[in-house]
Parts: sequence; structure tokens; C-alpha cells
Amino acid sequence: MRRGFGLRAVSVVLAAMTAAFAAMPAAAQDKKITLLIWSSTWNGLIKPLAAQFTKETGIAVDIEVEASSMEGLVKVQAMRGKPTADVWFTAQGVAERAASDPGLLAPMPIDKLSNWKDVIAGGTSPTFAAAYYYPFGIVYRPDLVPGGKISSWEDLWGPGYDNKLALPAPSFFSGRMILVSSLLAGGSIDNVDPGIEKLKKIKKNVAFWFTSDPQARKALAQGEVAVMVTSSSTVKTLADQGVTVKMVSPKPAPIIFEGVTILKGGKEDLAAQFVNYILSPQWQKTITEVWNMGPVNKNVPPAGKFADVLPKDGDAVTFNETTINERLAGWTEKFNQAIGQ
Amino acid sequence: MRARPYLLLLPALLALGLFAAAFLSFVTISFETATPGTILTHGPPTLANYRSVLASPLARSTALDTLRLAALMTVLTAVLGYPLAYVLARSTSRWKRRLVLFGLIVTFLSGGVTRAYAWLIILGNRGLINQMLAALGLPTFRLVHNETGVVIGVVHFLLPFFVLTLLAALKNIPLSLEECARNLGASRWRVFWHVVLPLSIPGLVSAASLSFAGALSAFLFPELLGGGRVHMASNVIFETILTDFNLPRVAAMAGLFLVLALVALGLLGALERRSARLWAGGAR
Repeated sequence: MRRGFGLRAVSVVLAAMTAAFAAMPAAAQDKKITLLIWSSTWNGLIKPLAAQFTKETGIAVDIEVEASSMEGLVKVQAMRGKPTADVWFTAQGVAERAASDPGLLAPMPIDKLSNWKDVIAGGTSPTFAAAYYYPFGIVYRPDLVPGGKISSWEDLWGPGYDNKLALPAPSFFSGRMILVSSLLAGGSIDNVDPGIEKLKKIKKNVAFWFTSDPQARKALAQGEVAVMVTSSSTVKTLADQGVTVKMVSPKPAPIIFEGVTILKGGKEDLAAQFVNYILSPQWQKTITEVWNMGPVNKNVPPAGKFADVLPKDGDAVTFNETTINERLAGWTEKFNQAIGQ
Repeated sequence: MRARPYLLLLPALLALGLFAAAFLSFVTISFETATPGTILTHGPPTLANYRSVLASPLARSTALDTLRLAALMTVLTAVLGYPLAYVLARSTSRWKRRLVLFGLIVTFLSGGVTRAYAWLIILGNRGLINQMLAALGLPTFRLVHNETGVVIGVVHFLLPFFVLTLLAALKNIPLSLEECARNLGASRWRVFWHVVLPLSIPGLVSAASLSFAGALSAFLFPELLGGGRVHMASNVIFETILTDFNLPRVAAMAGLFLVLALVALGLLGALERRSARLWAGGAR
């Protein structure tokens, strides 16, 4: 009898606890969003802003980490229908690819985003809001490059750079290195063969083709390489570590937008509040001043340091993201055959 | 009562069923068609993905490179690992055995990423080795971000698996056989060559098979130490997912690499059985 009573009592207590726990997350989840974000962007930029967001709105912010936009897309696809994240940080082209699946991204609730109207041209789509833009350029250690200065892409093909370059693999920055090389070699997005041929000639100078930003940054900081082709935020990250680097965005300088999408999962309203904060003048000011990226809110001027690394008038280029999405795999295959040892 | 032993199997069967279901879903996807520029797939079933992978020069060269590098890594692991296993099995010096075991366990317990970064520090352009060479006025070498770096990293990873597998086989060889040979006047080297080595061949092949399987599926070290130049199967599959998003084609590619790996491992298994018959009296 006692045993039976004990079991019943335990069952009742367990049932009560289960009910309580089931109710508690519901209450807590109502005021919490999860970001799928690059660790460097979270630590370097969003973490302090998120604290401010939580303070002002009462919405807690949690994170899941993605190594790259493409890896993020794999994760978003895997959690399709029941995402564990609500806001996904990604590159514009990858967001466009994700939008092709109607089950992944929620449409941007434009009527609820008071800052939407102030976003610069090209920074938005029905399911994407840019958080910032940046030129794809050359970050280098003046103390380690010939003459202490780089002024053009062609310099990287020259003597004095043997084993000194860290260049992005095609899966990183969605093939921008191939596209830059193609434009330099007289090719185009429709014909990248000249670009891949040109990249074959730089093989000796390339220490490695990176697929991880932190790995390449570390190599640049340690002097393993003297040059890294990447985004302007690297300048700020390395400066924070006491490493002096410079950046140049020579012609052709691809401009890349990165930003946020809202994942379909039931918390679209909370996620939209976060998106609106990102587009706000206050956050945009921090983005350009602290993160060294271009502000997408037209009422916020680029910070002085960022303005210094922007390409000159007429040097910037943009590419059709749909075309890149369709052709990147083919380019990568050709690239790997040409570059493999 | 009779049903109980089978009930105990239930968790294992459920786990196996889950793996089988995931694999089946993967195989099913490989017969679908990707919608270009999107992440969606559609029917009807087709062999086009398999044809596309078989026609791909990169897939073919990756398959050959993977087999070649895995074979090289296995041979190097065996060459380095056999003496270590022998010391562990036969050395009378306790400190020697402890030293070897400590080295292996440290390797075993340290994470792959930690080891990869450690090798970057040792082998890099400004790494320990190149700094020493430069200090001596000698030319420096590219020791990492190429096949050399990947082979070193993977062999280091495989060594504990190889040594511990072979150790069990060496320990099973009766010491009395070696003592008999020694009593009959054979030198230490002759005892090793004519007694220990032949009897350890089945164990050696087992350890080599395990190492070969590990090398075939290497991902982390080619990714971190290959510098984008070393294309092994896992890395190419990963990169294709990230750039193509053509899941049916990637599934077909993974399936074909798996078949190739199974054939290679099947051959090693046959070799293992044959060596057991030849050198261990068919005990295996």
C-alpha cells in the first residue's frame, strides 16, 4: 500500500512539475528570440547591441553559431518547419537562394518596420534586410609587403608575394575571388574561364585558400601571411588585437550586402522588432563606427575609417546574385581542378 | 522469458533503424532532380545525378587522390606505429612503455582542432621547423597547406588507433614461441622477422584496415591543413553542398564515394582473412 501510494504521489508531483515546466518555457519563449549568426559578428558587433535591445524591449536574445552563410543555409534547411532560430544573419545571395523555398523565410513585415523606408537602394528584398555593406578588398600588413603598400589587384600576382597570400576559396564570399580575377583577365560573370586561368598564375603566391575567416585572420596576425582578401571588418578586428593592417579596395571592387532574414517559426513579430532595431540610425551608427562596415540607413553617413576603404567612384561593381547561385558550383569545380596541387 | 533477450536488442535495433532510415532517405534524394538556383528537389526518379558525378573530372580525380592519400597515410601509420606497438607489447622497461602510452593517450584525448592548430604552429611558414631552418641559414619549406601537412596531421590522428589495435594482436602471440627460437640460437632480429612479424600480420592488416577507413573519411585535417589544395572525398562533398546546394547530386556523389570505400575495405578484409589463414593457422 505504502509503495503504491508513494508511486502515485511521485506521479502526481512529476505531472505537476511537467505542467509547470511546459508553461514556463511558453511564457519565457514569448519574450526570447534566437539569432543564427557568425560568431565574429556576434562577439564584435551584435552582443552589446542585443543587450540594449533586451533592456528596451524585454525580449531576450540567444544565439546559434554558423561558420558561413552557406553552412547557415544548410542548417536553416535542416530545421525547416520548426526552426530553433528566429533571425538568420546571411549574405544577400544566400538569402535569395533560401527564398526560393517558400517554407523557410517569412516575408519582411514592411508596415511594422519604421526604418525600412530609409534603407539604401539594393539593400532590401521581400525576405531580406541588409544590416551593412562592405567592399571585398585587400587587407594587408604594411610591414610584410614589398614597398609597404598595395594599390591594385595585379600587385598580388607580382614578385615578392611568394607564399604570402590568403585568398578566399570559391565557397567563401560566393565566388567573388573568381569574379574579380575574371574581370581583371577580360572575362565576365558569363565567362569566368579567363579568371580561373589567371588564378592559376597566382598559385605560387598563395599560402592557402581559406574557408574560415578566423583561421585566415589568425595567420595574418601571426605573420604567416602578409595579405588576406576579405571584408573591411577584418581591419577593425585585427586593430583590436593590436595588429596594424591596411585595406585597399581597388577596381574592380565588389560590394557585398549582408543582413538578416526572419525564419518562419511563429516568432515573426519579435524577430521583426529586432530587424527594425538593426536598421535604426542608432544601430547603423555603431555598425559603421565600431564594426567598420557601411551603413544601410541613408540617414547615417559612413564612418571616417570606413570611408577610407571604400572604392573610388566607378571602381565598385555588383553582380547578379541569381546568376552566381546558378553557376557557383560549376566555377568551383573548374577552380578546384585548376588549383589542386 | 524467451522474449527478454530480444527485448534487450530493441534499443540497438531502434538506433540501427534510425541510421538505416537516414541513409535510405539520402539514397532516395540521390534519384531526384534539383530545381536550378534553388534548394528544392523534384521527381521523377532519375540516374542523371550518378551519370553527372561519374562524368565529373573533379569527382574522378578526388576518388583517386583519396585512395592514394589514404594508402600513403596507412603505410606511414604502419611504419611508425608498429615499433610503438612492439615496445608496448614487449619492452621490459616500464618507463619506455609508459612514455609511449602517455604520448598515445595525449594524442587520443586532445581534440582534432587543437592538434590541427598545433601542426599549423609547428609546420607553418613561421613555424618552429621553418624558424629553425632559417636560423641555421637553410632554405625554408612549405610544410603545411598542402598534401604534406594533411598527411602528417592524419597520420598523427591515426597512430593511437593503429597502435592499440596492433598491440592486442602482439600481446596474443605467446612469448614462449620467441623464447624457443632464442633458445635454438636465433638472433633477436631473426626471431622478429621469422616469428613475431608473420604471426602479427593478421593483426597488422586489421589495424591497417581501421587506419585506412579513418584516412578515407578524413575531413578536419584536409580542411584545416590542406589550404584548399587537397581534395579528399569528405571535403569535396562538403564544398559541393556549400556551393551547389544540389542535394541530389551531392547524395549521389557521397553514395559513389561510399561504394568505392566499401570496395577498398572489402579487399582489405579479404586480405586480412587470407593473411590469417597463411600466417596464423586459420585461427581467425
